[in-house]
Amino acid sequence: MRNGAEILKLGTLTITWWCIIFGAVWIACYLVGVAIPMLLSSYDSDAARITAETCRALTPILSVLVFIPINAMFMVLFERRGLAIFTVRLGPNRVGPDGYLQTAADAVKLLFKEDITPHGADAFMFTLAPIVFFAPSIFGAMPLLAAVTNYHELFQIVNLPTGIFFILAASSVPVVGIVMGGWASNNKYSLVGGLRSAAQAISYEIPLVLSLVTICLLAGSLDVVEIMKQQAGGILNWNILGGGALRGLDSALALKFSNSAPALQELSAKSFDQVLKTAYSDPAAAALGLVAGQDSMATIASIIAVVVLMACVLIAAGLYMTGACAEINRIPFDLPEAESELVSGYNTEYSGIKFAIFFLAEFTNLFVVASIFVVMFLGGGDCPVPAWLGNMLGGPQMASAINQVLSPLIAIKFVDPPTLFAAIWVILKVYGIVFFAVLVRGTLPRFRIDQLMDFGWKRLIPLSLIVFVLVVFAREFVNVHVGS
Amino acid sequence: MYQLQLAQIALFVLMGFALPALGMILLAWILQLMFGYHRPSKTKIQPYECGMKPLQEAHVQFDIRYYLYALLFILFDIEIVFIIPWALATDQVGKALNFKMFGPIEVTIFLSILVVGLAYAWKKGALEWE
Repeated sequence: MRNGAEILKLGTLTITWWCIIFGAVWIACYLVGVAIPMLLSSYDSDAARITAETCRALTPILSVLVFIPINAMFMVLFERRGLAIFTVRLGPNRVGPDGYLQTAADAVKLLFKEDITPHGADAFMFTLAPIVFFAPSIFGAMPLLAAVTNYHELFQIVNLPTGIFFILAASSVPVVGIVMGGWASNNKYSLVGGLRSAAQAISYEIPLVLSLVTICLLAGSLDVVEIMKQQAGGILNWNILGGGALRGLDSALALKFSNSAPALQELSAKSFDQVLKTAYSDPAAAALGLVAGQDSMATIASIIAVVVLMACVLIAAGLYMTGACAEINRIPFDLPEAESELVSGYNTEYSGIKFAIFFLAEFTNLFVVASIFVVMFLGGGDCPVPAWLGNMLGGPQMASAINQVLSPLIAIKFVDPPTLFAAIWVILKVYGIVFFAVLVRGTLPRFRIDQLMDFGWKRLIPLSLIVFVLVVFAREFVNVHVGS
Repeated sequence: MYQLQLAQIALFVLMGFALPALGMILLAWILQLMFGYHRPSKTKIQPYECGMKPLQEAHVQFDIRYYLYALLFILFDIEIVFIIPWALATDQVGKALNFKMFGPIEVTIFLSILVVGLAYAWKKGALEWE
């Protein structure tokens, strides 16, 4: 009973903080990206035009900058309260109303703390380390921005054709910062922490990247927005369910449940064949065809292929989460900063603002890997309800009602409904993943270093290779037998 | 558009490095100037070693145990760098050669060479953390 109340409290806390985060980012982006250019557009001069363009170009950066500190503050609080629930205690509940301002107070405290450089430390490297650690969480998230805002025009510019590649490149930079910090501190604990971090990062990067490449292969693109667009239209289209293997099922169901009479007429064996031959979405539709009494070699092969694909993509998702947890040093892979053996490892000697930056980056990294997972596997800002079901449940009416309510805000371009809903869904899904990470932290003990390396090299890497090859063949099997 | 995008990326990467640096320097210095709280003493700046006096410098030569892991990692990372373009091009290649299984067979051969290497390293004990 008490736990139920605590979870409710966590929910209220989350919603309050989301409103703060959303409001701050939204208003900042609106002012710089829309309001100032709109004001300037009345002046007809080159200077005004250049200023307006600069403002627009700076909006993505501004949004990230406003978002990261507030969001990290909330994530720390979220994690502490969540852990408190899992370990049956109260958690921070004193500062502000019910502990809402705990981490804000912590941040202020860290800013005012004395900044110490230990004796014998390499001062330059010591200062550079938190910067190198933090920087990738700013620019690594860049290709995701266009995706999570439903390719809003202001954020389209940061949409890269090789987005995933860029993200992967950026995600291997923070470990340099950790090793630098560990070496420069002139502290043995830090040194060991930094070395462990490097060993861990190189072991878990391969399964992580291979699982993402599996998705890129299925999507045929490295572009984050492209991958997200392919998953649009409900939970059946998301990559986590067979990497789009169920897309045909979705279109078949859409045909079946569409309200218009002509469409119902078309629902014959012929139209099923047509659905069968649309694209690589066929296997599931072919399964439906089998149920409808059409047996063929292609159907059986497709069913096998769909089962293999679904299993493989689920394993790939698991591999990604494991690898990502290891990359960002979260429990159960937090060997570089193990409190009980290495007195928090690479940041033992850090204090004040440098420590604050390390702390901020750690949580931002968690947010970034969770949002990569959401965009790659969970359809990004896509509503989980399929369109045909939404139509049956009165989705269009609801959408128009919301549009009606928001119309004054839409008129001044303050709200763009697709962006708003995409952002809400993304943040819901991302916090679902974060909650899962907190649950893992509350559940699993820490690995030993040799177990960690064994698990990485002898289990995860062979598994990821097998998954990759299976996906390659299942995909090709579908393409050959069903034909596109 | 293309140049603009490149400029945007460069700006982002630059900002990524510059902003924490600026924030750190400005905030730390301004706050410390305002409140004057920077009084390092000899014991305070000693590296932490559980309360004992540090025995020696930590900047010593040390044994990185994962040298072999690092070598294998480079191999696998290069493999991934080759696989990414393969994953994007395999359909076009299959279509151009009119042989759809070309891509999968190709990548299987490529991966099997690597897997043989991994198995060899495993058997030779390169994957044991001592």
